[in-house]
Amino acid sequence: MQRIVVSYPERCVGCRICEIACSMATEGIMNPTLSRINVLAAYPSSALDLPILCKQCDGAPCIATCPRQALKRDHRTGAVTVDKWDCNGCAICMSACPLGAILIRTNGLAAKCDLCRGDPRCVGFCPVNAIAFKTLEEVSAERRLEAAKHVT
Amino acid sequence: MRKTGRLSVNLEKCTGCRICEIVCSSTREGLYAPKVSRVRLVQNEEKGFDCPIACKLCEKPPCVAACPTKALTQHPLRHSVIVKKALCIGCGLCVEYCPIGAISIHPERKMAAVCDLCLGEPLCQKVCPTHAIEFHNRGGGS
Amino acid sequence: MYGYAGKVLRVDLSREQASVEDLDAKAAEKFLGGRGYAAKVLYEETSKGFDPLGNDSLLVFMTGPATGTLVPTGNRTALVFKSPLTGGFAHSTVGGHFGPELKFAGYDGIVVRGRSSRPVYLWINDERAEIRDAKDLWGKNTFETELKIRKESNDNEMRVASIGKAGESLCAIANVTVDFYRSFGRGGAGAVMGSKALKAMAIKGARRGIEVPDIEALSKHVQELYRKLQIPGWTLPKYGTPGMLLTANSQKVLPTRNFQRTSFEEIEKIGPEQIKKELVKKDKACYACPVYCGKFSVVEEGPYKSQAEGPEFETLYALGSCCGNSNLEAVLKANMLSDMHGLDTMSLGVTISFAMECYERGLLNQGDMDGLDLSWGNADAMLTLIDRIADKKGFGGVLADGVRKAAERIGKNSSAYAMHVKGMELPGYDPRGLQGTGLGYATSNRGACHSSHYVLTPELSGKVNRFETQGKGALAKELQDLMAVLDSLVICKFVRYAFGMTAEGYTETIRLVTGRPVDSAEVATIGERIFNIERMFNLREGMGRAEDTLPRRFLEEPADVGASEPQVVRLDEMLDDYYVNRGYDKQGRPTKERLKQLGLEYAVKDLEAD
Repeated sequence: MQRIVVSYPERCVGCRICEIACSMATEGIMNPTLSRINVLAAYPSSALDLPILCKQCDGAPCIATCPRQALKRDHRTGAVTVDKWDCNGCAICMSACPLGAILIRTNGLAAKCDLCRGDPRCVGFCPVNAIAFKTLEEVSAERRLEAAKHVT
Repeated sequence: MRKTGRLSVNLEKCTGCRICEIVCSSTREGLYAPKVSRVRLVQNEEKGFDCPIACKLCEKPPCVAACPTKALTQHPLRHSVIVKKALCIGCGLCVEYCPIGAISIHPERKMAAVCDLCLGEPLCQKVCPTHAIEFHNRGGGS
Repeated sequence: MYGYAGKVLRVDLSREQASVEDLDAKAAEKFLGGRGYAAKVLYEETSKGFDPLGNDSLLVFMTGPATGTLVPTGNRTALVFKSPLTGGFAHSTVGGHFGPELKFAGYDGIVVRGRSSRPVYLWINDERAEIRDAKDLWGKNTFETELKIRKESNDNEMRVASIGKAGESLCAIANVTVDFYRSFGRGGAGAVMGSKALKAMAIKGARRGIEVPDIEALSKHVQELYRKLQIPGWTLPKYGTPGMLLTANSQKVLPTRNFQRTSFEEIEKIGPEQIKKELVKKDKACYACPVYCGKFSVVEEGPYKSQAEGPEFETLYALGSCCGNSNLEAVLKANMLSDMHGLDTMSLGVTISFAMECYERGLLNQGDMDGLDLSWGNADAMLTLIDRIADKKGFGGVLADGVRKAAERIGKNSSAYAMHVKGMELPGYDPRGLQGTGLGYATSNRGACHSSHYVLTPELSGKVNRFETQGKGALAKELQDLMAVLDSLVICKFVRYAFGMTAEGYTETIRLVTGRPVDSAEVATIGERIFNIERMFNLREGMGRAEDTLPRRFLEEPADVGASEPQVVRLDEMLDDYYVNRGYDKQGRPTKERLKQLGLEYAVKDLEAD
């Protein structure tokens, strides 16, 4: 079962430490605008803060639309990764991704969450456990368990 | 006749037999695969409770709101969630946003699957041996 | 393959390796699955005289084609092994949700061989099968073990089978607890697991569904079976198995005080009404079962604070009437301790009642028993003793390997009060009031067992005369063969009230699940084949006519069982007739011809071996 970085939107407090941690891990500097995880503040319509990042979709539109097949599946981690030799920064994938999870780096190439080769760095930094490295099945099982606890 | 209504559970009657799961999966999937049923049993053996969970037809479903491709919509009458297969990319945001874990991504089809009330004649309610699952009209029932 | 998962997991604990093999389709055809398939594996892959607690011992867990489907009670798993209690063939089956989970993980069964040099547990999640370190689990009771494994796997849906202290201590009456409150109960499977240092098996299965040829047709057939299970006045859904207590008591076959009496004067205190009123919180069902005979019971507070899915009839007999104990709350606590330590309540109760009779007769004094006052009905002493048995501490160690061994250890002709057949302790029906059941006890392959024939069903219902011996030979054979089929599908014998007590009642279900059209003759033959390969295992171990017997008490002490005069079991009137029906010689051995007829030619060499 595919492990991805999942979010618990009701827990997120909008601190954006994950963004800082990601930019540190991927770019070597603290700069949230370079982060592959982005926290949206849903003000004023709601008080929620929503961590948004690549879900490594099985039917990924980014892989399908890339004209140079630069987006590939890493079979070990299951992550969709950008091949830096094939990518030419055309940014079609940026438009194709319905989540807006792809950005262009300072070197002009596409960037997205690639699960840090199987050990996503952001997860350990979140102070409220609003993100985790889990399968979707684990998340829904947890949700069901919580829901059942509330009614019994 | 197709009804509008909502499923609820009388927890004192649920025995944990999972016949609801087995029948849901056998009808929707063509084989016995309770793990991909749209109603899922939660058991707590220490406390002795059994609680089936299925979509509660939220008034403002967070799964529909979260879907980045607008693959999820809400049926105007039944209020159940409809998955447009052509638009679903299996990203799983709906799974993360559903507060009760009622929607999941089918492991083989890689698309969202959720209780749709069997279009108004829910089978689980029919087969439950203790009548623990009830189907009430919206606005009424327990 | 319809119905089956098609794969078997092979685990070698000596090498700490796991591998997957295809299910033997031919064997599945001949032996169906479950107990039958597993019996074939055990017979073929072991040789005469191996130590049940040694390196060569096998544990064969096997589901059947109905496991995981919508077939009512399609939830069971069989476990087949050599019993440390009897030295012969043992099978045990469990309900709950363990079997379906194994099927959904993609396996029909698991064969465990060898033994690990350190405590381990088997962790299966779909295609991943890992042998994990169990040093943090060893010493924990089964509840703690199951909770800990689930927590560490972050998976509340893992199904766990585990042993407690009793299995770790190699008590021959240790069982394997499954899903907290159920067990692979009889024969000492817990000790075999303990000898392999296998603390637990944890399964999560989500990758496979079960296919049948025509799911609509099977669903229709199941609806028909549901209708047949709506039996007016059936006590099983309302009270669970305790409903049988009143029947057994009124028919004077309820063993009381180590089978000295056939009814219990304080039955209302531990009867179904009392249980429902005082203890039961909720009905529980196993996977795919519409009968919900399970009763989740709780004693909220006090010295007997406890909870369990139970107590079942056999527990209420063994730790209740058989011990002269009318303290219902104490029975529930004893039930919980048995679940947590992993002890078979039946063997446990009858072993304790043996000790109680020895004490009554002065063969044992309190000093022999570490100061315990094992008077009839002393529930507190009973509870203390249960802990000591699980630990093999002091007098507990004398009793921990069952009643036959205890009698050997105590001596003084105490074996006269050891109620067992082939070493396995009796179930809760006195055969002096059920002649055919007595024959079934004497000839069951795993020892004193009622559920491998259920001759008591037509005997108690009056369909056949329970005091007569005529025709019981044929009846016992027919039902033993049929029950072997149920244990191989694997379904719960409680549905026999809907499916019926003849092979005909199972042909449609087998056809709809596997796609194989079978007639009742073939179903009966499958059952006979299974029974005989088990019998051959026992013969190979040197067990024969001499072991097809009953405790002296049943053969020589007449009891008031509601007949015109007190009865003994007239086994000598039935045994030869039974052998003739089975096609056995006078020594209780199948003839070459019978084995060939059953397709068991290769077992013939073991006939000739002595």
